[in-house]
Amino acid sequence: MRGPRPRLLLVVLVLACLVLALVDRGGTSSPLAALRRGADTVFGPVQRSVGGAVGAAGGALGDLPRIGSYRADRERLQRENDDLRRRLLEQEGLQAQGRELADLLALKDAGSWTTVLARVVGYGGFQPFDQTVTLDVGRADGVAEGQPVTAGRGLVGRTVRVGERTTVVALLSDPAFTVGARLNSAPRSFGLASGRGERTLGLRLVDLADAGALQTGAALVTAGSDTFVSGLPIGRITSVDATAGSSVRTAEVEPYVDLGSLDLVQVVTEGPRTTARVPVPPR
Amino acid sequence: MSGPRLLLGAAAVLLGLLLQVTVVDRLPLPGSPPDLVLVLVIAFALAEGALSGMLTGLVAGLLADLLGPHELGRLALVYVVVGYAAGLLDDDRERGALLPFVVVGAGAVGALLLYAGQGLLLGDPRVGLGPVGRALASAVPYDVALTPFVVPVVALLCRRVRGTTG
Repeated sequence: MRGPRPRLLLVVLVLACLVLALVDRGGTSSPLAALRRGADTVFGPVQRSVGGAVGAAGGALGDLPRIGSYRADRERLQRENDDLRRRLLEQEGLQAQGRELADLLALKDAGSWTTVLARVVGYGGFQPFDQTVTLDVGRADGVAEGQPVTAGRGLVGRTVRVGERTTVVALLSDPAFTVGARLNSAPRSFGLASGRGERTLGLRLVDLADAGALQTGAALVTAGSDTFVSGLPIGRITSVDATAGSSVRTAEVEPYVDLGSLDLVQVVTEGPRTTARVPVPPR
Repeated sequence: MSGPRLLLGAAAVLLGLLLQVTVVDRLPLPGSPPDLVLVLVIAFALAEGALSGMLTGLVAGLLADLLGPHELGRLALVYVVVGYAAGLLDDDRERGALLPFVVVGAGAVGALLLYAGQGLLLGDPRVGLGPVGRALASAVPYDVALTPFVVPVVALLCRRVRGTTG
């Protein structure tokens, strides 16, 4: 045995760590928030430079085992593309119709979304419990806590801890993540989608006004709140809990975004502002 | 523990942590990724004893906590306990070649259960049977697989530094 067994020190350190964890439970209001900001200032730049370079290399490396499947992918994408083109044409017609109706109601959006482009520079936390990523943008870029983060096809998560130059994002599969959601095809539906770990979400549909639209394959979008833009695509319903007669319906949701290979994402810092709506007199 | 060795420990932990968040955590591996920092802490404990293991664990854990989304002190506690326990096996008598693998495996399981236990205590919604099972099936074997690349290197570095400082 080299050196004594520092049993007393072990007990002291364990107790100190427990006290720290209890004190730090408050999240952003924690008295230790300043310490985290300090760590962010020191580690942020390093993580940004290393993570950016590694992200690109890692992405290429991760593609290697999949090369064989690219051919099949190409054919599948071709079919999907044709199908989408056809649907786009249909949509264009509907959109023109919708615009006319919106004009009638004077529902015009005054602006579009303001987003900040960001790069994922680290996957964080103690996996598989924490499901977060670190971005290379922060308060200096206009990012604040509670803002939605999106990538390509849909929602990625929500900013939870914003430093001066880096931001920690809770992925939507994180069990602590919950977002108000509705079915895209049923604007009056309302429910809560929460992370389930394992890269899926669970949906609890509370408002059953349009419960009929809750079907496998249906698209789920955000319901919107004061910090969260509405209409962001979340995912696709993969299975519906068949228990009938309950006042709440539940379903499983698969996110549109592949959370395992995130690189470039966008933080939505400001939603579209709508003009005051002109009252329409009854006819 | 002398100054140079302390410095070596701190540098290795810092480098390991950066590698962990920027490279290891995003490798396209099935399941949850290995915990390079944990293996490093165990390697130091095996080479230098319980006190070094504990201190390395404390530094590594606090830094990892600062970069992560959970409460400060949680990983620090886990790494301190694992560093201490692994350090008790630091022994001058000849030990089997398999010992590091067993210690890393047991340490990884212990770390997982400790972290999960704390989560229950603090009411962390992320802790459940699902993630624990997944980590047991993926992260623990990955950690054991990292052992032959980390433990001998750390042992060699420690011997070098000890050699130069006497």
